[in-house]
Amino acid sequence: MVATEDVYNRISVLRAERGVSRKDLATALGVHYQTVGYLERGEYSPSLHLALRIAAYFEVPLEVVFSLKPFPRLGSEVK
Amino acid sequence: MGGLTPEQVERHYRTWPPRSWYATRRSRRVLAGVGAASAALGWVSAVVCWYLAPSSLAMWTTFALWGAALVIYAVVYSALVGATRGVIGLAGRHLDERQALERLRLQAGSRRGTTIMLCAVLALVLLADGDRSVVEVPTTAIFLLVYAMIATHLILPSLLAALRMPDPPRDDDEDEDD
Repeated sequence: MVATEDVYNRISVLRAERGVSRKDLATALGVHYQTVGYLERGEYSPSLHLALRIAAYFEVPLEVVFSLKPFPRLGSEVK
Repeated sequence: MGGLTPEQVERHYRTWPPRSWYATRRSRRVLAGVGAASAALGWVSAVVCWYLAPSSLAMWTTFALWGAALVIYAVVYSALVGATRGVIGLAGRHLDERQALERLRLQAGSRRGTTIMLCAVLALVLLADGDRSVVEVPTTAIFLLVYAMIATHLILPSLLAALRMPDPPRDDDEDEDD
């Protein structure tokens, strides 16, 4: 039986921040642009290899992009 | 099955099928249902030949049913290639990891479906046999029965794709239109 643990990611946030389109990111990663869409919606969890390449593309550590817990909403830590 | 390149998929299926054909679970179920109906026509032709062959009525009915099935399934298959953006139809070497995994799941699911279909056919043959040790069946009916089984086996992955596909993400250019 396949495990169904959720893996959360911030791909859409990073993509928007860097002004990168889904197609550009998909081309850089060598995947279909719909795959990027499914990744962003959390409907597909990437392989370790793809996850590492996504982190490398954005030049951030893996844990900045992926987490086993939901990421806090932007601004929620500001008091 | 299939041997398209990503460029061919993008060129031919960018605007086909209309998004309304596959954007919702309900519409994808309709698509799968139409595809299943096309397969059912093949089974119907086998039943017709079972009872009516050899006769010109059986022959023309078979041609009509299989002709309609081919046309209907060609449209459904084409729509599913576009809807899945190649999970159905792309050559295996062009699939990315998500698409390859999805295709494997579809093949595993359709294998289970084929097993169920074969068991159902076995049960039907046993029922048709009844207490008799010899049953006369037109050769055409046997041929069409096997043909319908092969056709069903071949199209099951695409029908499963329609049933299992999640709502597709919007394309970048569609986002810009919003």
